[in-house]
Amino acid sequence: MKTAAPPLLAQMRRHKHAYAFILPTLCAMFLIHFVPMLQGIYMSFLRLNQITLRQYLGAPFIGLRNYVDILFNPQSLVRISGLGQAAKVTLIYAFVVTLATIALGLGMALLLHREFKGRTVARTLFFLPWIIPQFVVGLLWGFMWQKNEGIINFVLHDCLHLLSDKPFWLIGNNTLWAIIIPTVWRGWPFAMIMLLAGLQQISDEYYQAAKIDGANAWQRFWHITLPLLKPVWATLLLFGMIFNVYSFNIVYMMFGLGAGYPGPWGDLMMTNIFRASFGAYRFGAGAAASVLLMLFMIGMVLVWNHYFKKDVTAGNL
Amino acid sequence: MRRYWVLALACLLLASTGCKNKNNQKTEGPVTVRMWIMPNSAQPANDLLEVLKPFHDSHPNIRVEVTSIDWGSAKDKLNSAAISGVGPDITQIGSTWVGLLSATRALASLSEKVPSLGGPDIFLPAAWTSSGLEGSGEITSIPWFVDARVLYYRTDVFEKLGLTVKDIDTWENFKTTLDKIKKSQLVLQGQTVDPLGSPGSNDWNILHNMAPWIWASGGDLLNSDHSRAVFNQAESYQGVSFFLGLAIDGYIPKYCLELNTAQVAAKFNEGAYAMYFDTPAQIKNLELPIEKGGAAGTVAARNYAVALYPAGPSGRYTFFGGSNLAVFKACEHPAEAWEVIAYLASKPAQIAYANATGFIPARQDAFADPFFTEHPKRKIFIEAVKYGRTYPCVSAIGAAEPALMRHFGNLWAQVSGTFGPKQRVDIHKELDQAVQELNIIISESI
Repeated sequence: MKTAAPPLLAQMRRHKHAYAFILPTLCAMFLIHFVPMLQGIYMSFLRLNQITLRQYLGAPFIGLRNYVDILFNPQSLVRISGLGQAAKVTLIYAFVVTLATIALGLGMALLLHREFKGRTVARTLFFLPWIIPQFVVGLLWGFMWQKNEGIINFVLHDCLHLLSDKPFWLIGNNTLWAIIIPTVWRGWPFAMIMLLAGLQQISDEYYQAAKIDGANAWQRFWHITLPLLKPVWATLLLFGMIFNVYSFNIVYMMFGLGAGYPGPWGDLMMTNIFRASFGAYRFGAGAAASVLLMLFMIGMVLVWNHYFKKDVTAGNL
Repeated sequence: MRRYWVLALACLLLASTGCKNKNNQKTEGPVTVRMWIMPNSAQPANDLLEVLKPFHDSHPNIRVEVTSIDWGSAKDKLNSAAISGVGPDITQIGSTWVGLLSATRALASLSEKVPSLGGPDIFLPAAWTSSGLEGSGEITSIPWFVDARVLYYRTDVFEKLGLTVKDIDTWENFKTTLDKIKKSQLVLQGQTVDPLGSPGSNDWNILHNMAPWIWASGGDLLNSDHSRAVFNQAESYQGVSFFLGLAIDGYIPKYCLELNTAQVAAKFNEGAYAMYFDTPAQIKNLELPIEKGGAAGTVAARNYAVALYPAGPSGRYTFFGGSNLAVFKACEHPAEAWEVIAYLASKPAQIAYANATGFIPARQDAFADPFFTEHPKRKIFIEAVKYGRTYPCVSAIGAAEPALMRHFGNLWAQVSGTFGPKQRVDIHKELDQAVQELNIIISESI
């Protein structure tokens, strides 16, 4: 026979110590996370620019005007300043970076899962890119991508002779690759470590049984490794998309140390919003674009939740 | 449970007692004036404190606390200070930002104080243009230093090809000289010398680099009452087209277009270019020993001279950048802050700071000082400041800087030829789009 669930107050009384311990965190979260977020949402309904900046939250209330401008007015300032193109590039960037990071991380994790001499040293060395701050990665790769003196063109053109001419990476269409590759380079070690930890949880018995049944290496990977690693790669997929959609530092530092415009194929949503808000003092429009991006990401998380939630709930990991 | 409440109450009491003591603390000793500056020299805070030493000696009741903030985050920090009222007493402001920040009404009026300095006439006219929002009749900042840009050229290259400074005096001569250098395919000290170095799209100075060419061809950014952008008109087109043409014709090497000013300067110092445009601070850099971060002893340092911008069809112009000093309305010590500004605007302090940073003073009388008259390179600025020009001090210009940088950056990207073989440099289209965007910004700024 099922017993009725205890009333909420009784439950709270029962776990009062636990609640007491999480209360400071809740208060801090409310103050440093929710209050600014609500403030940002409110700002998106204001005409907050250089003229009204000092009024701050008292700036003229213009309702949904900023949203209408972004979504339906192709002649609005926010649209002609390249927000649409930035949204397109951000989607491509986030998608490619996330998938490439997980794929590379998985490949390296499979290699490092084997027993060989120096495995621990290799793991440590491979993890190094992850501990380099993003703005340093942007700065370093900015030098490496240089047309004439960058090491990348030196290797591709002078050493390997793969290219007939040294291309520009920091101007034009190639800027998309110039921002994707360093982000993947920095991100894959984290995916590798997470997936390696996941691999170590998979019992060897599954593989032994599959071998006896005649499964080849690919079949073992496809039918055992990948499904059993699903909780890990699904989590990496979610976090990767969120981090990469909000990516800023690498792009900001790579193009003239935050000096200018990375071009239509290097400009992401966050760099575009940053320029609109802090460069041009269009804080209301910048806040509206940020809120729309947040709503889009909430949608993405809900889609993810629909497909993967059951895989990452306790017990399946 | 009661124990928790007693503990929480005790914590609150303790915290409030602490706050009370701090707030009620009586200020003893000298007044501290907090000042934000940007990295104007190798050791920004120390160099300024050195200049302030005589002030500190004569004003024992005032202590200036200097904080150096990066140019990249300066606008962000100044915004926060403008909104919150929590910030420095005095701040350095880029001269092209004065309109934007004055429009926020966060800066204190300094109009009544100006006569005590000797009035506006003591400053270079182009520098004074940026002292306050145009049309407001209010002075919100005092010009501190100026960076009139000039042309740095290699004397050994010129000697080798029989060129003189007259050969870079006008646009026409300048282009002929560039062509001569290009065709000569000079190799000096093992280094191929390209005619001209200039940054393209990845640089803070995109707009400042373009403006002198627009002005010299008779164009302008805005119309006379600043109600509309006009730089898509024929004159401006001619200026933009001439400057971009220097890269299209191969006088500026294509790889240069992805570099920033500092990188172009470094390559000039190594001997890669015969000429390039830069601020007066480069003279200081070329005289500073390498171990102190300078470029003394490099190929360029041993063989360089300085010339004015070449004159265009409508005259000679140079972009007049620089920085001003402003006081926030929320300043805790306005009287002391003004004393600091008045000292920094004095002739000895202006010369001392110019010596420390390499930038040039905003005061007219400083140019009669031996610091300028007796220096073989620096004396060019006595002439250069006469051709200085800056943007109108209206809020729209500051707000439009990112948009203008984007459009001119696009043009440089088109020149670099990186959008495929079918891509052509469409100056008209890009300028029309930039004007359209700027006009919206102007309409929203009113």
